[in-house]
Amino acid sequence: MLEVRSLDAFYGDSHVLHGISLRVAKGARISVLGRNGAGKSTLLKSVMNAGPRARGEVLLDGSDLGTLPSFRRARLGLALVPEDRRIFPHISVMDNIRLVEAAAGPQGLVDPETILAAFPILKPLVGRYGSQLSGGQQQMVAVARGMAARPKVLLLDEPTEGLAPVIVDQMAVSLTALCDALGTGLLLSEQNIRFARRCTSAVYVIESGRLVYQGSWEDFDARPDIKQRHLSV
Amino acid sequence: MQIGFALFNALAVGMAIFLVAAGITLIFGMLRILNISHGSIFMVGAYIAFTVVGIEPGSISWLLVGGLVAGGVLAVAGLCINFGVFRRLRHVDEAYSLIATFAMLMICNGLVKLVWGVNYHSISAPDALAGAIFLGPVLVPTYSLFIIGMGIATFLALEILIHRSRIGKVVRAIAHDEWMSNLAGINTPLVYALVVMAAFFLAGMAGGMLLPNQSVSPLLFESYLLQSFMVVIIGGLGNIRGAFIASVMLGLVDGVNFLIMPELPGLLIYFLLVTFLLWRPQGLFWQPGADTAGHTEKAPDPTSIPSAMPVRLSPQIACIIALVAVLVASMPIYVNEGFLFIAGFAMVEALLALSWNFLFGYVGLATFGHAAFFGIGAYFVGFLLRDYGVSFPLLLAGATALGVLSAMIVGLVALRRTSGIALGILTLSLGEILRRIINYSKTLGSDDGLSGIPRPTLEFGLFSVDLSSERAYFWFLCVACATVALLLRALTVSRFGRMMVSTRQDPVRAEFLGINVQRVRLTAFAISGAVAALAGALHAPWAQIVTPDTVSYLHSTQPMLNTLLGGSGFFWGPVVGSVAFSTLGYATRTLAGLSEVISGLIVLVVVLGAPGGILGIGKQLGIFRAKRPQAGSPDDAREGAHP
Repeated sequence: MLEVRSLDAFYGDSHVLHGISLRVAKGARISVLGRNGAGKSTLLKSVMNAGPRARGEVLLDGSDLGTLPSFRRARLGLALVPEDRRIFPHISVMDNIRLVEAAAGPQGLVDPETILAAFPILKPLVGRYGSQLSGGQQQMVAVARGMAARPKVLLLDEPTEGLAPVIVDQMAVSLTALCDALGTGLLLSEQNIRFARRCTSAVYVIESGRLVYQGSWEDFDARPDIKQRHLSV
Repeated sequence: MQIGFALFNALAVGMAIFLVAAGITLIFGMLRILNISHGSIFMVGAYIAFTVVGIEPGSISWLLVGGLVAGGVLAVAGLCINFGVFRRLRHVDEAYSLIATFAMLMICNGLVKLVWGVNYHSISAPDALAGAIFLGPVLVPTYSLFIIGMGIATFLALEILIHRSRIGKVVRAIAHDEWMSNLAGINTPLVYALVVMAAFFLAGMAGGMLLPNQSVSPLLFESYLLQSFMVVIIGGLGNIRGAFIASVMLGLVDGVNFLIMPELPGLLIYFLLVTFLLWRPQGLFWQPGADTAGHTEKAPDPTSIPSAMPVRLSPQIACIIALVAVLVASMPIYVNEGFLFIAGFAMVEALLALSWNFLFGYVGLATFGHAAFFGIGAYFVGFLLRDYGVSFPLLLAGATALGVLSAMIVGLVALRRTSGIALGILTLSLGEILRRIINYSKTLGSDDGLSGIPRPTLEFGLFSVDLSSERAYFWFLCVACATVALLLRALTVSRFGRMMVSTRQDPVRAEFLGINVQRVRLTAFAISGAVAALAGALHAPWAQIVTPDTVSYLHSTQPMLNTLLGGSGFFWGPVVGSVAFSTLGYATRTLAGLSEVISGLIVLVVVLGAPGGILGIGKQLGIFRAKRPQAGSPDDAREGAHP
């Protein structure tokens, strides 16, 4: 489904990613773990062609995305939920979700009822303006907005950052339920291992722009040294 | 009755302004580019419509057809300009986009002169709009009613489109966060193009509908240029509701102006603008999160900041400097009078440009009213030299002091409250206020200016130097300009120069390091004003005439153009630019319009393609073997010999 082949990424002169290759099979859910500054966000943005200068191949359903701008990638079935959420403050929650209609393709947006069923916390908020939401609510809206476009793969960047534990739990439930319901693949960048384990089936570890580990969660748990060396602070 | 008529008239004026300003507001709201050329685009629209309908448009619909054709042509032009120019300007420093759009203004104005000539044309309103009707007791011209109706209709259409429609939501989302809108699958480049096309279409429509409002001439751009700025600023940048209300306000203020001081047209509007900028630099309808004039501080590009490091002079460089100095100083011997005259002007302009870049390049402040300081110096010297024969050195000192004083007064108020675009427009307005006052002053010669200014004799007690001949004054100019330029250069590589650069690179951090940023800015402002006034003082006896044009905003843009053409990242960049511009002006002087088109094109190409200017290109090509990583390499000093 989504495949990244020897991806290098740059910000100006600094070389951030070095030869990253990974795969997200249809409907599969994958985590990318790493410390601050390891290159997780850069990886997701590079897949989306939304910022860093990238070299290498990004393939969606087998076809190379080349130099397509991010809005075309969004229309082809990639959705990036950035870590700073970027909720539009001047329009309502519902309008925020509807804004991705352009990316949704011929099938149209996911039925709002389906989304609200997965994110019950949003039900009373649909009429509020983006500027009137708390951080946790904004994150929910951001994920809901990403999913509303029916992406083939959701690129989710550190959704739990700064959220209360109870919200993190709700997020895990909502996210997995919605991905299951819509058959959406997930590429999740996280530092919260517990959350990542609840949402995904396999894990990549990234350090200083290079992938240093890949495997299932069972393998990961069997190798405490990985966590020790690459993830502990 | 009288008041009712005045009120109606004011409303018509306001709506006319709104029709023009709607486009500039749209572009600013969306692209964050203050399109200075909008007034000229409108003028081109008016000329196109004029070509379609002729001197006597038969009916209202004919007038509308003219507007539609002009709008259509301009929309296509807008599409091209969006791809050629605006698309590249979206992520560069504000000052560059202002200068690039100013270059477009020059091109448009030049094209108008080339295509349609410089004559005035008066277009009469179609018969249906030529009369007047009674609205209650008030007699109202039907044409005014037409303008008011069109203004309100345009406003309602835009209001519904932007605030009530789905398209409007998308457009505002992009204005808020282009990056995220892209991720949401919105084709933002397409929306940008459509908005620019709509803005240009509106300018063309306005050109058509306002044809009978005023005569059509190459000066038409001016009548709406500044007003539309004000609408955009007062209304809150890029806000169509604010723009509408601001237009009405401007119309009313203009009406009051006409009632209480008809001899000084347009003056009150500038006072209104200045008050506004100091009181609410963010405009009437500021929305949290929106970029506005009050606070748009983009991180400056560190490579474009001139070096504040002292450079050592190598023997080769010293030789080149000496050679150029000899070449310039011997000009009176080998060039003709006309060329010598231009060379003298170039030196004065170079000094003015140096003073401007002293602020822009080192402190990061772009003023749009530098000609005001220049004019103060020029008028001061011209007046006292001609009518009272005051000693010249005393006058130069006085002009410099006057420059310091006026810059301190302006700086004290302006620098505290504004930065970025707001500062630019504030200084522009103050300059225009000064120009209008000079225009009004009979003592200073009104429109005609001060003519017959004598060239002075320098008395040194035992001997005296007669500067009345062209050659003598030219040599005096060489010495004076070179001295001031070198002093300025010395200042930039001093401790103070490094402080200036640090406040530009990061004012907050500079503040943490114990630098009084406000004081550094104010001091630099005062020095810059002093040098500009001195340049004006030197200019007066050379030109032997000083006109209000020396104070106009068009002259204020000259130092900017010179600086950017030469390279704002180099101390001597403004000098190179002045030489290049003067040469260009001299080479194209015979054909009205052509010189503007060529100068505009060159500036545009430089700003878009080589933001480092001529010296920047030279540096990239490795012509200067820079010994330091930063700009301001030793070889830059080469140009220093002919300030």
